[in-house]
Amino acid sequence: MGDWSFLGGFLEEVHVHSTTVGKIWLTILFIFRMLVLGVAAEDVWNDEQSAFVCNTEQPGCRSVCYDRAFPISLIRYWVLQVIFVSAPSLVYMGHALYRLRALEKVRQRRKALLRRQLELLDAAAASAAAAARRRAERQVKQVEQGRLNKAPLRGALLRTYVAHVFTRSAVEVGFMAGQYLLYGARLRPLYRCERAPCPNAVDCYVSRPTEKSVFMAFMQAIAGVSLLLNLLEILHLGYKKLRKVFSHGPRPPGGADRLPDGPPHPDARYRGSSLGWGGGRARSVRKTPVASAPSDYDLLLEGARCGSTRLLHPPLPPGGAVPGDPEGPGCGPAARELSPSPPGSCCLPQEGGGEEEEDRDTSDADLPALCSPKRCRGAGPAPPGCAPRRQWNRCSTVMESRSSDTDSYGDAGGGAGAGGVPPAVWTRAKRPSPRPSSPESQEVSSEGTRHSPRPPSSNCKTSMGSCSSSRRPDLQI
Amino acid sequence: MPLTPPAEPDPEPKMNWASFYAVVSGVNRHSTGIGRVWLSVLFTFRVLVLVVAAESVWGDERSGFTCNTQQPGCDSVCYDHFFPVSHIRLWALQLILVSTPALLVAMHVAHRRHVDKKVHRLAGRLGPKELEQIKSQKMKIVGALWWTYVVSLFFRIVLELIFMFLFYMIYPGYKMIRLVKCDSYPCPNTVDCFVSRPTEKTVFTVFMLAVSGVCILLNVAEVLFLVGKACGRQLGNTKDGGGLWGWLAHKISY
Repeated sequence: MGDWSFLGGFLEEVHVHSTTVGKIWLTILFIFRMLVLGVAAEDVWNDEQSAFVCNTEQPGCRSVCYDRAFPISLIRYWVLQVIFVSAPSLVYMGHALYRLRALEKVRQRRKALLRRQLELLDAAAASAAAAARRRAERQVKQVEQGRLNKAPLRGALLRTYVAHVFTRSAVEVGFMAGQYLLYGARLRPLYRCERAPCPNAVDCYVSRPTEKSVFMAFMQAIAGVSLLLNLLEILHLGYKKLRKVFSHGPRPPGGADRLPDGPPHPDARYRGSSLGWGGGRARSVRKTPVASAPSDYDLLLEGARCGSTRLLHPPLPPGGAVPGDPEGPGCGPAARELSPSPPGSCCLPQEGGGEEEEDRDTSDADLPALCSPKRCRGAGPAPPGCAPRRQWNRCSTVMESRSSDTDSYGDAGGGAGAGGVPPAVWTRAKRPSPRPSSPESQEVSSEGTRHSPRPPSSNCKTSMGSCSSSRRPDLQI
Repeated sequence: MPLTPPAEPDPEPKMNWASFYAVVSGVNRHSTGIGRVWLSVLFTFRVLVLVVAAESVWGDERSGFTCNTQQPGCDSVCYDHFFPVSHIRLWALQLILVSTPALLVAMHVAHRRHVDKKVHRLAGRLGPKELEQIKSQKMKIVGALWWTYVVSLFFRIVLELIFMFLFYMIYPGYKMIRLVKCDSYPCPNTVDCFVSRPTEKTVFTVFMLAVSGVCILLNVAEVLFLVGKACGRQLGNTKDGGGLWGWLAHKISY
């Protein structure tokens, strides 16, 4: 049959990035189709043409009758079927690898930033920095451990996945219908042929028709099972989404497509498991890893800024959100300004995190513009969570204050880009759970909560991730 | 068990038994001792024999099938009538289907590992070392995994029996006939058709049948062993030591 190893290698890669049902589908594809084709079915069709005999001596008659009886040999047809059915998976895998690479870049940058932060803290040599140093060390270690092997199934990647499952099903149905139209349900031993140059209607005999019919039925059955698995996968994804939507209460239209999650577990984003069958489950419990990537950067900057703030100034009181204070509260909304928001929302979109990350790399120069209130106003009916426009006003003041901060630390972000903003070092702001007195988490929690009962630390991760309606009305910035 | 596949007549890498072995043998780590023996028997005495020997015996089954007539198409029709599905294909399908339930166990093990990882993460003690430990840890066949394992064994036994029955229905007596009398259209009248290598085919049919029986016995023994172990565990829970069962299970355990 030829070399399946090329396709097989790709499909192994796809295996890593699939849900549980997807993996079962792939296994069935491998074993019951490719293996059976290669090992058993091929031999049955070996003598298809040589054993096709016609009751005539007329030269050429046998050839033309064979050609009419078998426009495409079933073996080749099934090979095409396997290839076309696998093709959407390759497209999905490409997208998943792209997303994974983007996330890995984020992780590396965050690691670098955290390391620099650690050095800064060491250099500062303040007594209060001991705890901060330990925290930073822990963060570095966690980032190092948090290597993802699989891109989380969110946002655009999820859409690609669903589209690829639909495409796969459509192709499968097409091929099943094609096989039925070409050859029917079974092959008959006798084929009556009247094509020139056959002198009249001649009897031609197909070799091994029963065995071939058995394999035809087998392959149709496997295609049916495959189709069923695709349907199951779509239902599974839909059910998961419905469960998320319903378990976290009804959402406003703006935030409804944000795939909200429960309070993310501190370790949740590092659940980058490439473990065989459980990967799908991992994805389902992972909490906003991509969504929080934007917020991570923001929070990191907040941390850089606010951390530096803490060193420069005495720690803010726990009630921390002092309106009018450029430093403290600025830690909060600062995050938002750094990502380009789509029209209709002045907050970070949750999906498309990977694309945003790329955008952010080039968006340093745009940051002041992003902060302008105009952007939010012109954004159309903003979701309720984005209502406080004054937060955007705050952005500009914060920007200026922040740039001065970072400059004072000699380029804490490793190179002030245009506008003095630390370059888009996308890292994961993995904060340890108990941080009740840190001002920035207070700020973040006060403004960015997606869900009311949320531990303060997790707010830092997810606060910027949505313009959810759970933003408290008492946000005063 | 490192099984090097025999020299394939087609040197190109393809979807063949070697790759299938790679897929199925991963389950070996989580099998009982009897399960490993079963896998070795399957691949040595069935797959290997099929690929190396049986395929060349049945290779010319169609071309060597000759009928005592010049009538075109008669031998095709007669061959199809008497050999609806070739032995080789039946054995190949049987081996594939019989090995597949082992993948149920593999799926379950992977799921359990994933749950373990989650538990470790929640408990906050997940470092790279523990990850590796979880990945390489051998699962004990208890609880839900026990049921999965026993169900997979049950499927294996049922599939083997189904195929043996199929063989008996298609080729009664498990013997390869040397002469068939055929009068299907377009054969003008009853013609004699001769099968190629009937004795050799009979030998291999009986051999494969015997190994199939051995595999069924191994599977039944494995089921009994697992049931015994479960009972032993129960007894061990209720009273100290677990008695003979517990000792036996412990001794034979993997």
